[in-house]
Amino acid sequence: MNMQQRLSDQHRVADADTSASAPATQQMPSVVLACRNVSHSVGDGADQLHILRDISLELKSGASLAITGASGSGKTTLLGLLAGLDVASSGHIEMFGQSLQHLDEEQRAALRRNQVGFVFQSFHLIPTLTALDNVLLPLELTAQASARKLALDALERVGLSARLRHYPGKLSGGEQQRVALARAFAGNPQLLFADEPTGNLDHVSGQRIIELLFELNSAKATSLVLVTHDLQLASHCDRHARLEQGRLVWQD
Amino acid sequence: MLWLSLRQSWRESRAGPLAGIFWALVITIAVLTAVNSASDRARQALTLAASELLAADMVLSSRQPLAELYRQQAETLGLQTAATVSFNTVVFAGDKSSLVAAKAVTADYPLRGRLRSSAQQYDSGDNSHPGPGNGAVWAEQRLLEQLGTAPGDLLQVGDQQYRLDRVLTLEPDRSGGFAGLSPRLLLSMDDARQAGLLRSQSRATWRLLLAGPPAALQQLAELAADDAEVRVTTPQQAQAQSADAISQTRSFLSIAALSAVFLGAAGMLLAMQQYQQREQLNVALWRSFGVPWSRIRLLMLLRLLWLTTVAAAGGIAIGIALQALLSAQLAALMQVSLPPLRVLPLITSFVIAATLAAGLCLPPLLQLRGQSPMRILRAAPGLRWQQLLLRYMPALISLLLIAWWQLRDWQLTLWILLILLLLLLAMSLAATLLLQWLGRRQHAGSPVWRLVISSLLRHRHGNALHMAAISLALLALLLLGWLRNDLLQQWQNTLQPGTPNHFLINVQPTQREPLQALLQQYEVEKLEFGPMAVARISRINGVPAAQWRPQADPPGRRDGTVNLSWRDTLPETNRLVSGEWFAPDSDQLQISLASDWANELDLAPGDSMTFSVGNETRQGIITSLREVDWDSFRINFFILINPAAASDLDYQYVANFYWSGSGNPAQTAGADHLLRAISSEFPNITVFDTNALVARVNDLFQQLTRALDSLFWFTLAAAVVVMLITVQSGQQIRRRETALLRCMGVDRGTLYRAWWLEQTLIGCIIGVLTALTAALATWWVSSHLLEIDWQWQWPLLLTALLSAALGVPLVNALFSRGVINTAPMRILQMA
Ligand SMILES: Nc1ncnc2c1ncn2[C@@H]1O[C@H](COP(=O)(O)OP(=O)(O)O)[C@@H](O)[C@H]1O
Ligand SMILES: [Mg+2]
Repeated sequence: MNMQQRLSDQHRVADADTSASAPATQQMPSVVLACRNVSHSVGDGADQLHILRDISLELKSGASLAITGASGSGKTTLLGLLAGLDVASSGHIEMFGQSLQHLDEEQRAALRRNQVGFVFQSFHLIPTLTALDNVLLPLELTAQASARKLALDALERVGLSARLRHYPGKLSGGEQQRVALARAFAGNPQLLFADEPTGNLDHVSGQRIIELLFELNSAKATSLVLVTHDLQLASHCDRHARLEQGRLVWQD
Repeated sequence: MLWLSLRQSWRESRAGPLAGIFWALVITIAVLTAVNSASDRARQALTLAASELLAADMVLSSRQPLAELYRQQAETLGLQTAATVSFNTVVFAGDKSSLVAAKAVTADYPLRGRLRSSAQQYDSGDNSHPGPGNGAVWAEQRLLEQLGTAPGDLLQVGDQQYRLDRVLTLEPDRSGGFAGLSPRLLLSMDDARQAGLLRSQSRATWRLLLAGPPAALQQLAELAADDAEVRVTTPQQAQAQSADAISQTRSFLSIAALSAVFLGAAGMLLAMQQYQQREQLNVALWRSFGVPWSRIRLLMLLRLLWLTTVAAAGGIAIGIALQALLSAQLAALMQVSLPPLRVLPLITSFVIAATLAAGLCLPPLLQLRGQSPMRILRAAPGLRWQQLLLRYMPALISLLLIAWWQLRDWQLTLWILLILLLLLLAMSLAATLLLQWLGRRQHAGSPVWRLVISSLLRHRHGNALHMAAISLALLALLLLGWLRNDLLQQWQNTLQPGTPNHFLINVQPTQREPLQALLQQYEVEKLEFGPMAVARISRINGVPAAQWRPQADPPGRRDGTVNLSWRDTLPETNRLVSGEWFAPDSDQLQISLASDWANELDLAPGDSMTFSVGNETRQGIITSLREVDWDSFRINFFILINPAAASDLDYQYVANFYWSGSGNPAQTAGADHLLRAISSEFPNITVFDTNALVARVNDLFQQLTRALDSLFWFTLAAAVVVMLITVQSGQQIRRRETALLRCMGVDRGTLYRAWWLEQTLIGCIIGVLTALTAALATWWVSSHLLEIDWQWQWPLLLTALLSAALGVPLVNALFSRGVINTAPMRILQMA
């Protein structure tokens, strides 16, 4: 169906740049993300800080996972590791069947390309680009076909059609967050990571974002990994785990 | 990709924050272009000025008629040519006769510079006339003196009669050397040929004067290189008056161009650092989108290229306008028409801007290659100074390459590297020590003090760059100012009013007293006598003189004879460069040589020379070398000996003096003009009137001084602008912080005081270290490149110190006054 078509498109793009992602798209594994005995620490000597200890989890294609925890408990760190934006100190993470620590930075980037979306907690919008350009940029950089249409579409879905030409500095926190979200899902990724996507939103806007995420989840079988404080959002997810002292405590 | 990067850059450029970086670049490049181009044009003008001293850009000379081939080849190459033949002959007027140094010239002579002449006697003349036409000759005043003739009289030259048309007062290629020269007679080449003067000349010098593009000259020089009979002379080789000053000014202009590069680097340092930090975030983001590295790299390169290209286009356009202003001023001050603007310095400016931009921000960006996005985003902005040094190494190296490109002098370039490194090291060391010291005191003291310390600690990375940038700009300025002062000081010694403008030769020892009495009546000043004996060098270090360094051709040695002089003390305008001055109580022959003369012959203290005087020979030891200032217009000798060894030599006197009435009829009514008085009372004495020459050198020095000055003041203005940019651009983060502090309720007074204290501290460090570095740098440039005396310049140093210590906080305060007074919310939103 539609999905098949999209995958082969990606395959072509991926091939053109590097071969690393080729095996990933050849057979669609039912488990998109797996993580075994992952620990992470930063600094050394007396300054060493163990953020994560012995984390294991699995995410099936089309499934959703919520991670909650106190601030400073390591949620962002874990999300970054799972998305391949950083490398764990020890343990094993597989994305689309590829072991992340056996790939170099370049190969991990290839794996993310067009398949992974990420919403940063602090958005990281480019202040010198308009809302539209911010969404457009990754699509153009990864040579997505009909990038402009995808970008407009995504902004429309987060309710920002009227603010296309505005710069991030002129948008409220919630609006910026929605631009960041639009940027993450505009390319129709299979796997979407979002770091507190409703953290800056009022109840109504938050609700709309949640609806939007699960709409993606069900329509396009996008797997979701969400970090949130919102227990209501967490309860919408197939699975829910809480980070406590660097360990995952499953809530279901 | 090209299109994408262009579009991205265009989109970003419409937003605010990049504009600051962009304008800093534009202004920096404008300054670079303006100083670069103006100094290039001034340098070209100087090349022309130097050519005037040779009357050509290059001269081929030979003891035989030059092959026609050279002239033909020169014309094929598009060069202008003129020919001269110099020879000695005798002219007659009535029953008197005189030996003259005749010079036959073609109509095109001189190719560079002008002849000065007058229709009257004792007049300094004007330069509106071409050389003598057919049937007419020009002569120097002293020939008229010797023959008792006046303009309009007929002179017998060879077998023809010519009308004495004008009095020659200055030849552009006249050298300052005077001894042994007969008065000049200038005539046309056709006349000389007709009079049969060129046929039987065994001792003539044939010259082919050339002017035109350097490449063509070079080709002709190569052609002549194989011809043992032909000697090639360029303005640099011509030992002409003021050649030194011209080459010093050229060096100064090179240093000015280099200073512009320093200013450029200073202006770009912070702008590019901010750009690099933004770009670093972009890289992390692109990475997280999964963009391949090859593409990221290309994107970074292209974006940087766009930024620099557009900034360079704007900067160069503004720079061209600025240099036009500056050049117009230079041309007016130097009273020359400057050669047109060349494309090369413009290209150079672009290359410099691009190289600096790349050197400053690419290396840290390219290092991000293997890093994961999270690390980049979470990276602490602070770096240790060792890391900083390493990070900016490529920039330092590009700076050096540029320095070399501007100066074409490896030694100097390496020195600059050393000096810059020293400055950076000293600055980092000072900063580190200060921070350590502060760190220990962080929790003590008043709230103001704590605020200062924490701010210094927090911004150490930014501060380090900030300090480097400001001190680079300050260094450029100090370098230029210092050298300007040194040069002017040096030239003032030459330029002193009352520089001797008359020379006398053939003064017999018995004539000295009466001559002195006569001169005193005419109120001459600076009268100096020097004894002079003619000797022949027979042996050098035991080898017959002709076989010693046979290729060498020291000036002032004709037919193997030299002039010896002697005196007790070192002449005022000389400087001992090696060995010891004469030991007074020894009868042994001691010799002191002019260093340029000794170098040509490869001689040093300790070597021996044997002179033959009359039938005797005397052997002596070289005891010292003197550096002689040939521009001083004083009597100077290549060879001096100790008076005790000269007691029994036959000698005459030479003398110089200054006479202000020269060129006017005598002031005292009834008395003859001084020169006529001398020639009638002492017919054997020859007087050289060098007034025109002194005036020309004076003019030239004044022009050079003005060129130097206007370039210096322009660079000063440019440096101030760059420093403003630099100081100000460090303030963006500060603004946010201050706003935050104010939000938290810190009162205005505390903020003000903390601010002043911190900035003054930084300013002081910059001032002290930069001043010391400038002293070191100028010492080296003065003594090695310009070959002038170096001295401490306290006023300049103090000014630099104060302007750094006060200027930095002042400018900061100026730019931040708004911050402390505006509503915090607005400032926070501005970013
Ligand atoms: N690179 C790092 N260096 C030092 N500390 C870090 C680094 N990354 C994360 N931390 C620390 O690890 C803890 C967890 O961070 P984070 O994952 O951002 O927490 P949160 O759950 O609030 O998202 C925090 O205390 C943070 O300061
Ligand atoms: Mg977090």
